[in-house]
Amino acid sequence: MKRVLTAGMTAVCISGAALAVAPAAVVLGQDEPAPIVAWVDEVRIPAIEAWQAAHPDRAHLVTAEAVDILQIPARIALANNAGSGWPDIVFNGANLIAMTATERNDWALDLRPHVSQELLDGFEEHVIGECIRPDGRVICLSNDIAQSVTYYNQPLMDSFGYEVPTTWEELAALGERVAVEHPGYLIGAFGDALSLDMYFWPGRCATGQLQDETTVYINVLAPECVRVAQWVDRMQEIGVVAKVGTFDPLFIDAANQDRLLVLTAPSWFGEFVFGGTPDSVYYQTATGQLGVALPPRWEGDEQPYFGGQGGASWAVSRHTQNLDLAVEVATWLATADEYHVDLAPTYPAYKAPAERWVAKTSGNPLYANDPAPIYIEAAAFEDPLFGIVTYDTASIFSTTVIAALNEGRTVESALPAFQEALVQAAQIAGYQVVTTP
Amino acid sequence: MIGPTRPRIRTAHLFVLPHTVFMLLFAIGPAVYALVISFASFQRGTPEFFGAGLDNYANAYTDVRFLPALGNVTQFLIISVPLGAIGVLAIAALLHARQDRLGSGMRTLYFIPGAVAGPTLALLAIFMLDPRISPFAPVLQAMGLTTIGQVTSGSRLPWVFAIMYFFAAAGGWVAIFYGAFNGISRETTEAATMDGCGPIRLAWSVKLPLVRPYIVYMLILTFGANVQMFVEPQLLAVAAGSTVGRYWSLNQLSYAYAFELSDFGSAAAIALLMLGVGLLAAILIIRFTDFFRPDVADR
Repeated sequence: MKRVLTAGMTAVCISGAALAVAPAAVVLGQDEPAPIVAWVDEVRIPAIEAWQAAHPDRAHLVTAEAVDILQIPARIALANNAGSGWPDIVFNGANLIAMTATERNDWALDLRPHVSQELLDGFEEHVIGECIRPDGRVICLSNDIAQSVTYYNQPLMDSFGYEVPTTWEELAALGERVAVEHPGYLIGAFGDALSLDMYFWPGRCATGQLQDETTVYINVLAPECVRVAQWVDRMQEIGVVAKVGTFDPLFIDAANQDRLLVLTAPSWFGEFVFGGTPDSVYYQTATGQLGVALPPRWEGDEQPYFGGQGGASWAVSRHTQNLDLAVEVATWLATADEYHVDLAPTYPAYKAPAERWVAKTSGNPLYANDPAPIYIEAAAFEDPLFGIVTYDTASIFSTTVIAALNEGRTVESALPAFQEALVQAAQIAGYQVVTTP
Repeated sequence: MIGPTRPRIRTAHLFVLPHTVFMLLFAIGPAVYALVISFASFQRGTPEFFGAGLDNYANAYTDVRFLPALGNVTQFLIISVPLGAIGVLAIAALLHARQDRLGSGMRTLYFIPGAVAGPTLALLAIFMLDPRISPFAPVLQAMGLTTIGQVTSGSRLPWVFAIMYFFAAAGGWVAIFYGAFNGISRETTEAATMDGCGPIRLAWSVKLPLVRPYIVYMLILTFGANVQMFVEPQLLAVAAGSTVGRYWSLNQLSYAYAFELSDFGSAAAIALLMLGVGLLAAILIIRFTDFFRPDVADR
């Protein structure tokens, strides 16, 4: 005990000494501001380079490190343990940023005092909502939006004489017709973790809706979820929705053999999955075959909805040695035209560059119609109830619902197990769980 | 007495020195650190030593994911340890019984997977398990399995992992046992053959008893390594189409505590349990065999 006390007193003395020399350090800081480090994925390295190009006098102050962004919460936890080694800026999904902003990690800076309300208003409202915690903290600035849209094969729809559906019920009716009239053609895929985003979130299923910072509403046995489960079960029963994910070789083959009629998917599918270039996943040629429409809504709902689906954001460290620069760079990365219009591969969350970004997609010979107005309208459909929780709902969905499908059971039959596992995960992560909103 | 012994001890020490240094740095050091932080609390990121008392242990061992993970690993061990021992000994005995070009060619073949690093091998195994791209696709499809999700679902998993582990580790052990069989004096085996031993009888009644300490050694190391299974389920958990959970094994649960919940204390509590089980198994096996009697190997 005595030794611990001595060590503690030594620590106090050292920090006292540090305080004593602090003014000198500040003077030094004015001469040469502290450099900052950003952890990003490979795809966002050009974003940092764009900032450096736009600020040549200060380019040397910002270093980009390409990391596996899924590992960022783990690496921040390690830095917490070591008491040093934190990044100043990170690029990551709002859910993983939320993990670094828990009381236990306490890494993400609350940006509220450092950015204007005007700036926040410049983002798509419900998308920046992912970065705003129920207690009002702004833990990140959104980078991009993965809004749902309906992709369809225009020549196929024309030759079969089908209309593009506007509701899930109409899509089901279309599925029933396809099963009889053109068996083998597909209107969707449900068989991997992304199916949670693509089907359950548009249904407004409560897989984890935050009530406040520590209370989460989970009820996947509610009608919003059951309607989705029954929809999928029926469509898979008649064989028009594949029992594998959208990146399974079986489904990719179907798309490439022009057996994919309709697919409701996040907006990055257009440029990165359908593509229309020789190395694209689905369509290696661009012949004006891909139609884009607003996503379906459920008849009981007033509008379509979507959840996160891969949109990411920028966050700043509470430990940064150069707060002004870190906030400035993060803001620039989330909003600047030089990055979002000229370089960014995804639909910008900040409204001003978004309009100029979509104009670029209009020229792609892949599309049957101009996707720009569809993307802009669909961007506003993020569900305000969509919750950013600090545990991983996708892997729970995989181990319960998708596992049940693999065992030959239905989605609906797996909902009780899904509910139980979600509640457990939420409780382990420290949430109070309620099953009524 | 002291005179001649001393230099021998020094030479022996020199031989074990590199191992001792690495064991201190990468085994005993981390284990002691784990013991220390298993009593630490991590309320605000940085550890507060001895701030948690026994809370971390209570927390980790009562986690709803703990018993299922323990059950999974137990099932896996029940399959993998005997399968590994029997398989390795059978292959080594077969190879040793056939000392020609085919035998030595096969020996190299068995060793190759062991020379590939663990995670790479696990990735390879994942390809082998996918009924659409695996060279064993006809076998898998004949069993009614059409996707990797079906191959790796539920009760099949302990078997799948046991097979993955077997091919990762068998080659090295086969080489060791082949060497051990080679160490048996030719007079002994010739005498046995003269007395009418066939190759099976020779392997079972003469060769195996003579290499018993190595078998014990293999059992201890296999058990210790398999209790800590991590890479295989973790990679399967992220493989497309697979539904293996991220908390399938104890080590995965420990990892999840550390890197999903930033609770290194509870992670350490689970890690120490695995260390404890491994040590206990080693002590039991050594206690009830004559592993450390130096004369055994010379008998």
